[in-house]
Amino acid sequence: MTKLTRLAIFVAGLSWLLAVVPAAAHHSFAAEYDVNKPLALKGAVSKVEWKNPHAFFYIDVTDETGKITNWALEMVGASALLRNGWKASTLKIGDIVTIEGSGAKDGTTQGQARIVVLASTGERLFAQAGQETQPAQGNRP
Amino acid sequence: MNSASAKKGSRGSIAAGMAIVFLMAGPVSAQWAKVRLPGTPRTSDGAPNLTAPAPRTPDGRPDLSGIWRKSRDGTKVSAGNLAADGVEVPFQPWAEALYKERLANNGKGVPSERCLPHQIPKTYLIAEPTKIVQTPGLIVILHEEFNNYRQVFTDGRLFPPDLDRRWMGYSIGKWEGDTLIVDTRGFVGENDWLDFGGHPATDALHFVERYRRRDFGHMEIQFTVDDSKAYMKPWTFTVPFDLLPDTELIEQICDNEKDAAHLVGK
Repeated sequence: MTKLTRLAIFVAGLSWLLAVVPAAAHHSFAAEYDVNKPLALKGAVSKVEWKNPHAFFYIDVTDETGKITNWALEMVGASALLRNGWKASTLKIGDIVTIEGSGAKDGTTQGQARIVVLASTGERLFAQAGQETQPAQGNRP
Repeated sequence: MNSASAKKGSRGSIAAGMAIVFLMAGPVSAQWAKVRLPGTPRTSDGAPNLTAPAPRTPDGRPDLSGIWRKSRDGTKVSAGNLAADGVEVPFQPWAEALYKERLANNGKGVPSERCLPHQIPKTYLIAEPTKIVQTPGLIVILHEEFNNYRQVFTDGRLFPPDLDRRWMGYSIGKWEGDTLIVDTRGFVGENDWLDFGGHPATDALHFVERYRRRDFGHMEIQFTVDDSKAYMKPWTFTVPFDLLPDTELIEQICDNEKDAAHLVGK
């Protein structure tokens, strides 16, 4: 892939990103997260809070030295996740997931998750509102 | 993969992934709560016919009942900025200064970040939908986020002489042809935020909404902000809405507020 192609894809990605990162459901996105702090994490789910106005899940991320850091990841609320095709049981304790999102401005180990990929199935789950345009997600038994 | 290495090596791949994912997006097709609602006009394959004529009540008025959400296309107006479609906002000087201060502070301080109600019109512009239930003499408007509601009295009453101050105001409605005109007064008037950007309002706020259901699946609401303390003259913007067919509202109680501790201002 040429540098120009990569740049074009990055710009396209960024414009989609900006288009789909609205103010969060009950607070200003800009006050909490930084769209210029892309976050990519892989870890094991340690806790799920299936609630409103934001559902949260927590993952343990292990670095090269073996140190484990627990990250809090915010999604839209449970009601909007249901419309995206999620269920309360979609994420289970111990599931290995990869997330894409934005980091918190205050530098804490918290982020806003936009996409959650389940390692066991490869399913891409959409964690922000208005993403139910995607194929039905998260219909695990 | 740890966070540091992921951040270092994956910025491009995330962007590419986002581009691919969102370029794949098609028309709305998947929804939660598939319930086949009676009274929904359908095409031969059973799908809701969203371009069928707007339904009418027995007295011949358009029936606005249904679950509505701001259209994704055809408008730049957002919960973040009411004026995004280019309308010139005729601020009073103090209101413009306050708006700029709120913007510079990243929108930190909006009452809804503490689970207080989204006010009009922000409650219509967020992703969570709104259900309209039209009955003779009363239209009930249910906002999914925070289980909030409005009552629009269409029984011919006038505003009470002494209006209590309310988050959603006191609303009376009347029909002008096929358009429902809703007048709302009696707002809280302290620390009002009309959007996440922080367009302010005062206790002088008078909202006029004009609801027009174009067909079964589409509606427009024209909002006019009339607040002589905050703005030199009334200003107006129009927002298109799409019907969410064959679904229901979902309970949405604010019982997991954890953001406030992380919000960062200037």
